[in-house]
Amino acid sequence: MNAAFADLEFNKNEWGQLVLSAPDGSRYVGVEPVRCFPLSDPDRLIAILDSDGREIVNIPNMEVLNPVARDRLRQELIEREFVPVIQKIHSTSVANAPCVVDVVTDRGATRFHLESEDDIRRLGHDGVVIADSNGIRYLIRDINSLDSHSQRIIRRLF
Amino acid sequence: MNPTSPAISSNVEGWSTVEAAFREPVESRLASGEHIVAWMISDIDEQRRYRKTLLVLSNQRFFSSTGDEVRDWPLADVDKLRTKDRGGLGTLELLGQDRRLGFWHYTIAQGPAALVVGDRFDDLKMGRVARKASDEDEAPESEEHEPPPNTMALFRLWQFARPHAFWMFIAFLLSLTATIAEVETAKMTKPLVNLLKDFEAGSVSSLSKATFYLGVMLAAAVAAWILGWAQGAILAWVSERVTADLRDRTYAHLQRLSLEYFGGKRTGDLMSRIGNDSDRLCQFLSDSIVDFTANCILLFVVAWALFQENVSLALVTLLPFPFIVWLMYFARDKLQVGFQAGSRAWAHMTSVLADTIPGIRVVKAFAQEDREIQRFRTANEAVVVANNRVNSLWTFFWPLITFLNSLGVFVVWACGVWLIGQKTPGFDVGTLTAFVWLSMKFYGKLEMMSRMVNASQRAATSAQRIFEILDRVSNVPEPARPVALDKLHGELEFRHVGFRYGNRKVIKDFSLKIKAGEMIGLVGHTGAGKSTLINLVCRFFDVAEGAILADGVDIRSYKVEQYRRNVGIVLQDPFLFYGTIAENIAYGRPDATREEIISAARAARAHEFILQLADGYDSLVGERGQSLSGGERQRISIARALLIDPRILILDEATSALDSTTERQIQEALQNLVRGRTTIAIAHRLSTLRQANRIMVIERGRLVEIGTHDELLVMDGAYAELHRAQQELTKDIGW
Repeated sequence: MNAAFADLEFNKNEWGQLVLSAPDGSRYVGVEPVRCFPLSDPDRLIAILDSDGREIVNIPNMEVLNPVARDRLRQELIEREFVPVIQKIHSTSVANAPCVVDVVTDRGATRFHLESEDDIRRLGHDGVVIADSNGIRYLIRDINSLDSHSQRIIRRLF
Repeated sequence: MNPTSPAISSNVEGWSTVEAAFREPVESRLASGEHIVAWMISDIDEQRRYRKTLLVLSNQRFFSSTGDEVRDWPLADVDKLRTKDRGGLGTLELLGQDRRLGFWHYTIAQGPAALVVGDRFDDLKMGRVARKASDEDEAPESEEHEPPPNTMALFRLWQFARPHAFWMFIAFLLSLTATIAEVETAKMTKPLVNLLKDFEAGSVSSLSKATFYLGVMLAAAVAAWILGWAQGAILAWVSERVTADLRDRTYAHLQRLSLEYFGGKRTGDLMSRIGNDSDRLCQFLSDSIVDFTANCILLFVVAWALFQENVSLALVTLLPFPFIVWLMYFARDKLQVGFQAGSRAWAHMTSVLADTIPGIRVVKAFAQEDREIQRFRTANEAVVVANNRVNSLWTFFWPLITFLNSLGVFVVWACGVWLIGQKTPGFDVGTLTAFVWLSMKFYGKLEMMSRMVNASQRAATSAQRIFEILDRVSNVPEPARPVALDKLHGELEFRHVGFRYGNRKVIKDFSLKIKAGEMIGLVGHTGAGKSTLINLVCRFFDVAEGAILADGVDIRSYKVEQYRRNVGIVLQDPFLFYGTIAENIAYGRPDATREEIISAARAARAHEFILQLADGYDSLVGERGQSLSGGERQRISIARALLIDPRILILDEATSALDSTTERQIQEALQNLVRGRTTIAIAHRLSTLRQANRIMVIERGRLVEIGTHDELLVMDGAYAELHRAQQELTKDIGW
């Protein structure tokens, strides 16, 4: 079984589509990798869907893949996902939601509109996911790793 | 036992409890070989007046006995015994071949006995041997619950406070010390004032003594402050703890009550009991209870001090006291009624909220926002009215009590002035000052205590409402000697099962054996008793007669929780809790691994639509969460049932709310679920029961047909008719 995973190959065709080649010779064009547990367990259980959304294979974890495929898949997942990780919270327009939040993320500085405290959810014990008014999600993996100013703001928000 | 009538075997339950005046005339008329099969009391006569008649069914005759008059009819003349009920009044009719032979009325309480009489009569007529009591399945002994003690609700709080008795005692001591310190300070005033008089008269030596008295007074004040603070902190902590325990206990108890309880309760009312009422109790416990006891003691201490100073003046000082106590007592009763009305009004208001917020779609769809606003306003207005009534009562009593208290102090002044004017020996200005101060303390405390009347009545009402939940005993009791159960094999047997809601018999003498792994389809008209049968299998209710056996053991002998762990259920409208999809699937088995969750979802055909969601299995669903379609929710609930791997599976119209494409997907999912499990599936659309090993048709609580699809069609009975009707419907509207 592991051997079969190790023989999977991911390539990009000239249209920018991801192509999966299985050891039995079958090829799937335009496949899409999806994390089953993007928040609670992002690096395991990655489903590869065909262009109709049907599951072709489910990869239990990255380690079963060969190094080339692993890098390609990782790259592909990063390209497909947009979940900025918040590194610093500058300020909020008013003390409580609804408000505009001014943050620095791993993808640069931005500000977003937070509609209600219901859009903030805990992730495990210390993590937080914030959804803005457009549905974009911002991640804080561990509140305690933020500076104290940011921590004070986030704890006030929910 | 009875030598004259050996035939009246004691196997007719309760026969010996019937009053002899009714019973003996019947017994004396029994022929040899005749024995009593069933009996009941009709408590209302033909003219609808309260009068008892004993009705007895023997294996040969039907008797009625009013004590003075006994009538009997041979069973050969009786064609039918009919029971009906209307508006709470039941009627038993004895019908002959060509006319009605007699009729008797009875109240609801006699309903079950009337049904038994009717059933036994049918048994006799059909030539079946009436089952003797000894053949019937005895319900396994259940855990005994003591009847709730009928003491005052507030005192019952003690059981929750007991673990913290030590700290409460400490708080009480602190409170007592603080008040005694106050009294001692008051006593200081007498020598102090007398010193001042000497000082005025020109004696300088006494001034250093005055510093000592002042120092004591200051120290007492500081001590009272620190002690009060410590006492407050301890009590706040204890009362939070006690009410939290009370809330936990009440909620845990609520969770274990049977579905029947929730059927008759409004969500909002329950929420307000657990939330609001416990909060009121907390306030009372922290603010009032220890103070109240400490103040009681203080009153005695002060009264004692007063009497020590001057007996006659003490008597005069305490003159208004009994009157105030009586007034407080009087106010208490009045307030009690008012607070109860207030709590009910509040609960009603929360009920409106709990009703309309989940039902907001219906409200909007029918454009009834204004009406709901009005409904809330009415409920809210009722709260205002109820509270106003209490407030007006209270605002009347409160100043009156305050006035009487000041009157007490005034009396002291008046008497003191008069006594000093008379130059009474042993009574000087110092004594008067001490007296005034002490009586001010006395009435001050009394005033505080009368304020507590309000709080204590409010708290008593709340405690009562909470204990009402705690006193409720589950209708699905735990067995006294449970049979250990891990995994069931899956055999089910219904043995002469009967069930009734009040007077209405929903399931009648239902017997059936289901092999392990067999799938049974359950068909019948709405109200035929299908859902009731399923509720019985799940032990949401317990059977009234007969027994349900799983693996040959009465299901009442298993622990409810262990048994239910073996039963999976998929409902028509699945409920998802607020949480992630993964959490919802793993609801029955929180320890399931992510791989297990995925494979359950895959088998339920839910995996792929879940992956389309932004957060996959981490997406939020349920209230406030992502809205899923009916089919999607259904597949999640199937996955939930699959994950616990139940041996007995119940499908309650699992596909009837869905369109046919979705239904097909769900059918596939169900095939995975059903495999190898004992399944009972209710369905309106017969096509969904194709895989069933046997199909049973229920009509008015009775099993009328059972067999495979083909057999039933050949039989050309109720099932065949249903089948034809549905096929025509399919043609007409292309279902």
